[in-house]
Amino acid sequence: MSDNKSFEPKIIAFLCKWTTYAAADLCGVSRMPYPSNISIIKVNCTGEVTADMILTAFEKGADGILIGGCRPGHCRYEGGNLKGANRIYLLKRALNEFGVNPERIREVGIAGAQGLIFQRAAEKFTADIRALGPSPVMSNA
Amino acid sequence: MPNKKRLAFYAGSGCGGCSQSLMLSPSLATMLDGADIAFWATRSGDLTEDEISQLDDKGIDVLMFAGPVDGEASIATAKLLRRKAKRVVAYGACAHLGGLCGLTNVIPGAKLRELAERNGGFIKPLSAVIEVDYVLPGCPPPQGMVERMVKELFLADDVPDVGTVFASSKGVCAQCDRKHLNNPLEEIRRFHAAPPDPDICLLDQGYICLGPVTRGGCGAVCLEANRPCTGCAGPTAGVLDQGGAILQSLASLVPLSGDISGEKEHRVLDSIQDIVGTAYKYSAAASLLKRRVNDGE
Ligand code: SF4
Ligand code: SF4
Repeated sequence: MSDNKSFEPKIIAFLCKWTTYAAADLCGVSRMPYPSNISIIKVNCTGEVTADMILTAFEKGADGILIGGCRPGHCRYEGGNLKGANRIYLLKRALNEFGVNPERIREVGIAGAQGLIFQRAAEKFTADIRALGPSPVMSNA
Repeated sequence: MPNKKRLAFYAGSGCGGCSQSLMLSPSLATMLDGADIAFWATRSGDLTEDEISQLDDKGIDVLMFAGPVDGEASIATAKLLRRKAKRVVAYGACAHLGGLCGLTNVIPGAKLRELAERNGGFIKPLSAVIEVDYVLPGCPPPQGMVERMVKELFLADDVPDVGTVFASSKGVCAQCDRKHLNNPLEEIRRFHAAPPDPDICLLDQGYICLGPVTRGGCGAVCLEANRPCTGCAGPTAGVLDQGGAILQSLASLVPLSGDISGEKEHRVLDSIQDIVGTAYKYSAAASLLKRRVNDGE
């Protein structure tokens, strides 16, 4: 838990261009603000988010990682999002062994028209990461 | 003989296997023909800081450094040795990646880690504390790679480009003769239960093999002995985190059941034992996370 009230989490969001990214974009054009803590990286599919990408984000100081794709069963590339989810599942086990709280990664599946749902998910995740406090990984020289 | 190179070997710690790999090498005689030995230290006690200080700066042409680096003392020695050598080779997995000892960075309560902490640090790859010019991977380095290093460093007229890794840029699988069946990964098998078929790719049979994410050049000798690749040569070129890479490959090999809860897939993934010891056997200290941290609870 963080006692640092001024802590502003750094969150990297890998968002699938077909859905969750479109939802975030919709927030933008509809002037529905979401926390500026979130930096978005657009990907073709959550199935293309590699272990290197996630671990590098942590190494460079991310406090949380949001992975947003299609809802299960709705992937443009058949099972890309489900393959990606299996990858995250296993990677979380490794993170746990390294002492990193796996809750620092959250997966969401939000359709392109669901701007409001993205806004809420972004707010909730930012609040949850704020409560977890800064990631201890980067100080780990 | 003109232009004899001055070489030195230093293993401050580690198991001694690296020094052996060079002593047993058929290339040893050739190497010694082309070079003079400044020193050959196989334990930190073999060479004191004072003795190193007295050497000329840049007086050694090639220093082969084996074993991991941990606390203040070994870092200071590495830095001092760097001043004395024109070129430094990270010799073997410990110097290259932290090696097996690096597991103590992650395993809670490991005795070796207590020791490392007493020495004031965690296991680090050599490149984390000094500039490293070349890497000779392996635990210990396989003879083919030792031979290549000797040729390129001691017998050739030109020195190899800085950054040269005396191994292949391709993965271990490229040199492995086993047949591929492209089987999905439906069950994880372990070696103590039953030996694998020696002619079929281990992953095809459900045994974990780090061949796809590990730098080749070893000739896939472990596979010839019906043992898996455990990753001693570190990640292939272009991969940062060897452990992450194999975990991601394993996850991708598990077939999708069609049930979106992923329950069946998770059961397969849950059956992978000792994630860190398997995926990061030699590379924990060189991984992107480097060591275990304390994240709240
Ligand atoms: S790399 Fe392997 S052989 Fe060399 S010192 Fe380390 S443990 Fe021993
Ligand atoms: S995964 Fe292992 S057994 Fe299969 S081809 Fe690669 S090195 Fe050979």
